[in-house]
Amino acid sequence: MLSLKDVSFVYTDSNVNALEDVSLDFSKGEFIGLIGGTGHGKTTLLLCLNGLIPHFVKGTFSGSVLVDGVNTRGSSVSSLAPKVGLVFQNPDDQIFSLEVRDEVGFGPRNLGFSDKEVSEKVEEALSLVGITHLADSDTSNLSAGQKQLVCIASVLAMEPAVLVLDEPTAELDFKSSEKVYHVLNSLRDQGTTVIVVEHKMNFLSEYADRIIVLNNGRVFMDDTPDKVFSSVDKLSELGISPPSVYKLRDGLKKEGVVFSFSSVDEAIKQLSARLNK
Amino acid sequence: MIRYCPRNSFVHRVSPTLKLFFLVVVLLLSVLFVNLYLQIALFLVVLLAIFVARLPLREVIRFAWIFFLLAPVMLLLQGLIHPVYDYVVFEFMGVKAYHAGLIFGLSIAFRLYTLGFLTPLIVMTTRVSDLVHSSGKFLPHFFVFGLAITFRFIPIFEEELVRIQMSKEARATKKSVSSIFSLLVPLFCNALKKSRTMSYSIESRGFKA
Repeated sequence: MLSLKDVSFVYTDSNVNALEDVSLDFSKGEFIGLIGGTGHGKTTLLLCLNGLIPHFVKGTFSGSVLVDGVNTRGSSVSSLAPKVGLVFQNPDDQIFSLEVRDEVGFGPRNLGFSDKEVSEKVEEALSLVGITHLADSDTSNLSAGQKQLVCIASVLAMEPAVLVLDEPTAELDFKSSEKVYHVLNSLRDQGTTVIVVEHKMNFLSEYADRIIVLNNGRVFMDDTPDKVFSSVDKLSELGISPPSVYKLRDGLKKEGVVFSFSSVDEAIKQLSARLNK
Repeated sequence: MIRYCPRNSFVHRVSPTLKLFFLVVVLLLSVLFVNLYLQIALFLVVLLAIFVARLPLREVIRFAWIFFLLAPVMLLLQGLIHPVYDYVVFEFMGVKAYHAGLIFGLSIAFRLYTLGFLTPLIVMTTRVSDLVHSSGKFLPHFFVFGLAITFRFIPIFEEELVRIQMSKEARATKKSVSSIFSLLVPLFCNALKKSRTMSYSIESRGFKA
């Protein structure tokens, strides 16, 4: 579906590799969490996935990124848009239309769909993220959570096979973040590959199938959430705080008490069972 | 900052294209002619429209206060320095105010009032999105696209300016002329950053496809 081979990138104004020999493969319908400290290459990696690097961002790029077998180096960003959709961190940096309907219809219109088709795709995308009622609203009157959902819908309207999100919940409260993850989860269930850069580890431990840890532009770990988050000490060294349940499990293990829980609910069950003995 | 003021009035329901046409006609008549009666008539039409639209006068005046201030100044200045010296209407401390000058000044003053009231009339009765959509009927796409982005960014920059201002004041910055410039620097930097991300986002959604 999407593969990176020996990808390295150095920004023009820097002499440090933002990415170094990154090789990864992403399959259809996977939910991938991308984590790492600030400045360790997460956003740079995302920019490589839809061709913004090397076409738009200045720097030295080597290696190859293949989207459905097509090398991004030989394709324009706009031609990759229907395959890989990218949602940025701050909705206010992305939304430029005055009405939700126009914003969501922007992508399909660029792809040459007729007015009727655009309208259908807009309705479909809005319904996927559950904001059909906001179709005619002014974008400036939306809450931060609603704006983020509009951004996701505006990318979904192009029906990309891969949806890439850069810290989609950075500006959102817990409830709105949860809603975003519910939407992403249902998209994954429908076969969309979801790649998310996230600092809120609880969401990733709950929804992701796979976690990739980047450190100094290199892939440091690439495994299931349970295996990655179990490495509490390793992650702490990188400045990453694993979900609290994993810290608790790790702390108990160091005290000689072994548990296998990976969520709060499981922790409650296993701990209460042990305490009631 | 004046914003759209939702009301169920006749003026609100008028098509944005017609409003734009009205705006251009009033502007042209007001700027091209100095006839006092015409200026008064234009002012009254705009004022009537404001009343019909049931716009909050306080908001309208808050926007137009600078015109209220300028109008008497223009009236006095024109009265005193207008080059046609027909007959003196009054004399104050040796300075003579002539009839032709005062009439001209009065017409300029009404022109200012009209212009001052016209902007809130259009902005407060028309949703920006409707205005942009209407412009799309007779303006090129790239221009309307730019217009939409500009209107979209106004409230964002307004919020950002307030945020930067609060952050400065929270650190005991005293208000001065130079402090205004120190507000503009972060605002400008943020604008550049925003425009870069927005260009990425637009490109990622197939623009130019």
